[in-house]
Amino acid sequence: MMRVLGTGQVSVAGRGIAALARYLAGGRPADAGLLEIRSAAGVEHAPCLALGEEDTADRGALPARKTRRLDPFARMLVLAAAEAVAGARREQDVPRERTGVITVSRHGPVRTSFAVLDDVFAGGDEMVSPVRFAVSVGNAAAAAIAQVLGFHGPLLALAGAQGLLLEALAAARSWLERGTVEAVLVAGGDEVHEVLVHGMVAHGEVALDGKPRPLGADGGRVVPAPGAGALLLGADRPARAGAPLLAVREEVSPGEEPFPGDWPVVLAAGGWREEGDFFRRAAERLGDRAVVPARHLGSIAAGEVLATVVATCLLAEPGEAVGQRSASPGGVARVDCLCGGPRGDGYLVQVSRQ
Amino acid sequence: MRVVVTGTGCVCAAGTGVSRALARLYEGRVPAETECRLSADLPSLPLARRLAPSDEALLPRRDDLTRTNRLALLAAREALRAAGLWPPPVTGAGAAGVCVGSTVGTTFNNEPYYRRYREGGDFGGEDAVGRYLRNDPASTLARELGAGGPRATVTTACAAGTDAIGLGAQWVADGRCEVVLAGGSDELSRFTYLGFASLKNSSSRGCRPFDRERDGLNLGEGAAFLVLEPADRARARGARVLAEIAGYAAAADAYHPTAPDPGGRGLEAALRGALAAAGVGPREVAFVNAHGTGTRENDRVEGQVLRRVLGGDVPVVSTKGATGHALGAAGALEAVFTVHCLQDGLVPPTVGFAARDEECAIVPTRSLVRLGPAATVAVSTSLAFGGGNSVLVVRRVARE
Repeated sequence: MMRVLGTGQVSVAGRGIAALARYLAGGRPADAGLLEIRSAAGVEHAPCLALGEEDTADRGALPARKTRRLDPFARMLVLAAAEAVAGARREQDVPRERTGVITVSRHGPVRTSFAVLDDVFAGGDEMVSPVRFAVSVGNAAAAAIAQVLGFHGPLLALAGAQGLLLEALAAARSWLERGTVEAVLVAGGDEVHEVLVHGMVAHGEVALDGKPRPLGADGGRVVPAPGAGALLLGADRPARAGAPLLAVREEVSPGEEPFPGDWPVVLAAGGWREEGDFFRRAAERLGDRAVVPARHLGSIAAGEVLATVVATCLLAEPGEAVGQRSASPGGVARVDCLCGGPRGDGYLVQVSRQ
Repeated sequence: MRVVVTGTGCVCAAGTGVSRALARLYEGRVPAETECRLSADLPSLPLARRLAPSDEALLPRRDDLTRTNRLALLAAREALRAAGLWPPPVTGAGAAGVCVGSTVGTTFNNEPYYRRYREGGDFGGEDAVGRYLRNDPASTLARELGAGGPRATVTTACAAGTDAIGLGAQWVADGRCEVVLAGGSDELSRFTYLGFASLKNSSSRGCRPFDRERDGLNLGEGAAFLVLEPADRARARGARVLAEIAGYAAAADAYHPTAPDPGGRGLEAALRGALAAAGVGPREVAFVNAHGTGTRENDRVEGQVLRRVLGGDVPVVSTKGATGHALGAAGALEAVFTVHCLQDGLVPPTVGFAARDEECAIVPTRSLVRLGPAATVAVSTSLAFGGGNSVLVVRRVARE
């Protein structure tokens, strides 16, 4: 068991947990714009969500000297991470020498990678910018978080398909249990690039009407969106009793899972083809207990971290609002987040107030 | 729980197959036919090292896989064979995990496709996005090898291979799975070649680790894997135990996107942490397989930290003069070499080193070093972009 010492996020809901809570409470559906795809075949447009410029601006929250060279991907993760760290109630919970960083992303800094190639196409092999190349590597966001926040613990960056958060949480728990670190910052998310969207359109994955249908039965369910979430995790200690507990249960099959209790279950669904009917089956069993952030935030490739942040956000004291669900008179003491795993099964990230 | 190595495999410019690569390392030879340059337009013409042309035919003929994954499959096959876990599915010891370090293998930087996409040509029918999504290295290996346990692709740049082994060893120690294929794989790519050239830290001749006249690295390519298991399980199934992963630690400089902390803060913390995790004192270290890229800053910082923590007498080798810097595969290649060097009681010469640099504080091996019978522990270090530092401590296990 771990404690969630802080959370942060940047998404189409805006920047910060308060903005996310307001957005979800308002029950607003995602409001897609059109992404220009400028390929050699001509100019096309595809529905896509975007971050507000203001949401990724520093606004003095971060030291300018350390953030001026960040690319948009790293900036998004750093902002989410900084909010999670600021949310820790006690400074001694986040000792800089003993705080590790783990980032997860499906595609990493894909806009910067393509910008490097654009430079080559425009000006030749000598035209690669060393600054741009440096922030195109897979661990650039993890390194940026460590540098901006001054963390000297281990760095880990994971990429690839489903199950990223599962592995990140397993690594975090292992480090905490061994005493390697005192806290672990897990940040994850993805950005959107036209080449990827072009491929998604070609695969029939994108909802061309701009309406996300992450639990739809047919293709065309995805409205791509950027976004990042961050969880600051610590070992379960008495002094941290007020912070939400986080536990993970693996090998969850929605067709057989009883989903006991009456608490909300956040579905980290994006509507991606690889999900098949995994989340739809879970939603059928859960009924109105299912919360589907992608309906509001769009489909984020590595959206599991943000979905877990949503789950933490939905934990509420008696009488508080709980996102788009009705306020519960008894409060919500536990929320689960169901994520897709790499082998056709899934895993539950369980957050609770105990 | 003790985590042991029961199989290894590698493919790189020094040779395909562990025994061939080691033979070249011990001889201090670099096959000239591995030299290549990926751009004719750069004034500095950086040197890179690819597989020997004669080794190309050994790669699996799979058009659906990226070169990074074909390299990975070749090395993985050798490691699993050595561990007695071939052919797939890898189920003999319960659910198997796959942990792969990679840089190029996880980046959508398909230059030919993107050029056609931007500038014209037949790109519409090509499923480049689907191919990229299907070629995540850990998922691909797990699929190809029938491994049903945890999987992760680690993207911590030049330390990715070392971190993948460290993470895989944690999985075993934590009881998440009973066998892990851990290592790294990366192909040569113009993207990284041009990127390193832009940073002006690539050499146009063979790299010279820790040398006074060193002027940069040579990019390389390759893959290497170790099969990791709990010691008692390995013994129970009669596997030959090659070594123990006795310690692993990582620490961040939090200093600069590309340059190491000038004082080596993160590396020193990682080195001391790994030794502590292994329960090993500095004087017990028989040799170090250093990151030793041949860049001015890396070698200066690394040499000084090694001297400060381990003293000046421990043999230090860099094998990058023979392999090139294979990025996400580098740490895995060096871990494989470390395991076998301990077994063989030999430390290879540092290809490319000629003249001592006082700034580096250490003198790497000039010729083959024979270790004494008391030599049981070795260290492998990796330093990465972004200030990541990772260290493995490997302990020899007596031949049975």
